[in-house]
Amino acid sequence: MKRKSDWSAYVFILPGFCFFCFAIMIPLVMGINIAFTDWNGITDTYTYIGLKNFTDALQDQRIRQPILNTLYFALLGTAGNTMVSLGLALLVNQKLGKIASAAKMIFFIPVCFSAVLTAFLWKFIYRDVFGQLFHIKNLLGNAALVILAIVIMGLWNSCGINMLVYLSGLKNIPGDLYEAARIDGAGAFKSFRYITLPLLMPSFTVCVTISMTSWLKEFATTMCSTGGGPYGSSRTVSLYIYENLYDYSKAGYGQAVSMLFVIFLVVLGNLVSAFFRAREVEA
Amino acid sequence: MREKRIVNVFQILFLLLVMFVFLFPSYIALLTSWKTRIEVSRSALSFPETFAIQNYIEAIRKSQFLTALKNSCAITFPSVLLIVICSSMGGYSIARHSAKHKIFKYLDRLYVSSLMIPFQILMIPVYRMYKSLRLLNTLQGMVLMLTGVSIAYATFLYVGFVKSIPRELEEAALIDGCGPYKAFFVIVFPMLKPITTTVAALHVMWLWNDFNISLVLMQKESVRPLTVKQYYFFGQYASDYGMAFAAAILTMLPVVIFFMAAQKYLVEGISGGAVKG
Amino acid sequence: MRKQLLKKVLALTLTVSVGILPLAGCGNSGEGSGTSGETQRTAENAVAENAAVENGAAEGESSEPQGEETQVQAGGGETIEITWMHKFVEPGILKWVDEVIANFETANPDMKVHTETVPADDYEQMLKTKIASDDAPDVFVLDNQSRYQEFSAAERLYDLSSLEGIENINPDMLYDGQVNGVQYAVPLDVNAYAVHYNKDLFEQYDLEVPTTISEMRNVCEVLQENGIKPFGAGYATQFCVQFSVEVLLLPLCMDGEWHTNKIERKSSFAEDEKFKEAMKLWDSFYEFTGDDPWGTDWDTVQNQMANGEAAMIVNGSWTVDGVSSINPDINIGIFAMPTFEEKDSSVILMKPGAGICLYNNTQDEARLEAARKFFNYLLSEESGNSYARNAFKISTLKNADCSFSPALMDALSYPAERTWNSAGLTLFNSEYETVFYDTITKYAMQDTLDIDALCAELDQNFAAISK
Repeated sequence: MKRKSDWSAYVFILPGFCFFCFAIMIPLVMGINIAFTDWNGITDTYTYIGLKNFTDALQDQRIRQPILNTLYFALLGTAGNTMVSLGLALLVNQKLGKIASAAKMIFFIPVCFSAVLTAFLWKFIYRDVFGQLFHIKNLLGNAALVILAIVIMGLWNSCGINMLVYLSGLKNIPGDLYEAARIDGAGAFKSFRYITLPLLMPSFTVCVTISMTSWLKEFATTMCSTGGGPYGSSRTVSLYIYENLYDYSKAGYGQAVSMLFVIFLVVLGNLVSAFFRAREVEA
Repeated sequence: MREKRIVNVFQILFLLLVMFVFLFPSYIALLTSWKTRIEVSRSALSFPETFAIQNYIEAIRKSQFLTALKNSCAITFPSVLLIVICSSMGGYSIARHSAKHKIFKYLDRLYVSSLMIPFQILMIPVYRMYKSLRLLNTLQGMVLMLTGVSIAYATFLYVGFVKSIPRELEEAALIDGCGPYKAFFVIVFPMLKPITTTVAALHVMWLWNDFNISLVLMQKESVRPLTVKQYYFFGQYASDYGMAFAAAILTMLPVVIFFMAAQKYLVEGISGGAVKG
Repeated sequence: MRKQLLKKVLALTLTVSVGILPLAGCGNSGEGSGTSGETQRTAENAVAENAAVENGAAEGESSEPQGEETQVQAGGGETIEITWMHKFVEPGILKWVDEVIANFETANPDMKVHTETVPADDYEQMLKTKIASDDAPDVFVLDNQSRYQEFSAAERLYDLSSLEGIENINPDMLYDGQVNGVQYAVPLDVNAYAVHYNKDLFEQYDLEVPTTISEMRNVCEVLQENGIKPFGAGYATQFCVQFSVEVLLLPLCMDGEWHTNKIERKSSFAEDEKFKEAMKLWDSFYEFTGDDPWGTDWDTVQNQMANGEAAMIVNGSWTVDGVSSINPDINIGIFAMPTFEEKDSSVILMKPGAGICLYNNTQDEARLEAARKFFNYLLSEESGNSYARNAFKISTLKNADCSFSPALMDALSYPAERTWNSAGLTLFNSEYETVFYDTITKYAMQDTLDIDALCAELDQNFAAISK
């Protein structure tokens, strides 16, 4: 009996795993060797140069700004996303009737815009609309504010999803817990801190991990809206990798940088998700 | 009581304000899509003088809308179906067996880790692989790739959700002699409705909007989906924003309609999940 | 029990078949090198109803019975398909593309040309990916001399010197596309980099075309006083910064070795007086670029000129087509940006545009032949004139005819001593270009342009670029 159910466990994961290997693992392994070569992306042949690309990457001065930018993106983006999505979820969760359902719809519509489209739309808005409305200069042309401007775009585009996840988590919290707390005299703040937050941990795991790693990988929106400018103040690591792979004809180097980047992200992602998973309270 | 009503009013006002802020960009997109090029160059906020429906007509014609629409549907919906089936099974298995068998835990870790991989580094190997398997410019090829890149996140979502479902029900069924497959499909899967709806909705959205993968794997105009086609309207140095937004809105319309229809189930699904055991 | 087994079998079959699916999609592993022109039979059926195919070129497969693949080897009566990959988006150029393909296919019924359009941002990526996967397009476009060098060094480009059509092209322009004396690319057009101005506005304020620096300043001041923005500067877009600097820098430096010397660190910026002079000159016109040049991009600037907000744009001669397509009634003229104080000394920059190349296909003779023929046709007078007419550009034909555009005629009216032709010169490659203009932008965005600090950092950054 036990053997049969053991088998089933493996059978369940098999189809997903097959697709996964096909689309990700196999290409990844196929591409790894390039990082150890001097391939420029065009020639037929290349020579193996051992770890040179990696040592170059660690000493590369041009990579410092992208790293700083990326970290800044991740910080602003994750904090912003968590606060805004949670805020929206709490707001919509109130019993405000039909308006709440309309609100949910409206907060989710921006998610239907693709990253590229969002970038074009907001480029237009920052350039023309804000200029007319608020008479301010284009935020995307301001080196100090450009990352903030792009984060705002991204939040508009993605908070709808996380709002749904938090909403789903909020609905899963049994109402009697709040009742009990109210009877005990706890105010809104206290019940939020001691009931809502802990029971919302599974949602945090999902949202924070995904949000953080996705901002660290930031590429499409930035590429479309500023291309990394002005003078590199919004160039992210992904953008730098892309430039090396295809623009500067340094495919080997680009691949090496991305491998280091992936390792860093994997370590960070696992740490963060483990942090939250440990704090999850099972219902 | 009166206090509650005042607070309610403030909440409603605040909500309306936030809704307005969120709606504003979409409104701009819609507004611009009805303007001619010179109207757009004059002012971004003005109301269109006449409703330039030729933007939409041109957009439909130039992007071969029906074909592109068919392509988008053909790559999105089968993929989402596969994703839901495979990830629900996978997520269930990982959630239930991680404690006892390490291998499931590692798989979970692997999936989470794979989310960190940026697509650029996979591009050339994927292209090579597809070339040698002759899957380039095929709809099946796209379905395989889209499913493959989405499994990790979808499984991740399912794992979290399944953990919140008590084991008693399916264990009871197993003791009663029910097989593990039946137990899953008949008992557990229906309970996964909320997360399934979320996963399905999200992936319909993402796959419909996919650009990078379609750009690389689909180069023949006849198989290109909507997202790639409408990108050309935002051509690098030749933007006619009116027509570009018209094309973009046409591209988004199916998804928005889908979501509006699915909304009901999302709401039901979400609140349904709260009422269990 | 039976049900159990059945379910298990079902599950296993499902997983196994899912695994086999990708391989099933292949059908016969084909003969010949896979060409991008072939599609899967099942995919054909799925899109068989597709009627609106671009270029009027019928997909070769839809006319074939199921079960056959397009023969690639040269053989009597079989269609050879070649691919042309480009990133053109201007409607005028696309019209030319359609025209030449239609003409070619009519003259050569056994050949078909497919186009693959890729957005400019992703072009390099797609090209390199395809070449790396043995799926190179037969004809494609490359940007500039440094790209020709890269690709020819990797033996990806076919030697074009033997094509008869080359005789139609202006030999001065052919230098662009030659590496070590061998012709690897042919530029389609030449762009003039100069000041594009609104003739009506100039007339309105009684302004004459300036040829000295002081005259230029005078023009700007008059315009500014009357509420017109003298220069539409779209500095949010990198190439706008680039060309506004280049029109000053190149005439002043006048030295074909300037870029190479900087790359190889044979000369430094700190000691380059001419560079400093150029930057000072650039800075002196900064006050005439409006109040938010760094937040304005190329699209906006074209709009501004089209609706009369801005009087001049310093950029390449595609500006004529760009602005005219927004406002067909505008009268545009071109004059060279003044860089000296002597009268009539201003120099106009001419740079050949992107070049078309032929892939060095060592594996498929038939395709190479067909592509050669097509390429030859592209070099013909018929094709060149069609290009000029449709795209509103200066063609590289020997007897280029620009009578359809007074502005372009302006550009061509400068005598040889006042024309700086950069054909064949290696300018900065992509990485150096990015670093160079990023650094300039950084200092230009400060309140005042500190030229010495700029030079110091340029030297530092150039030295830091690893080979």
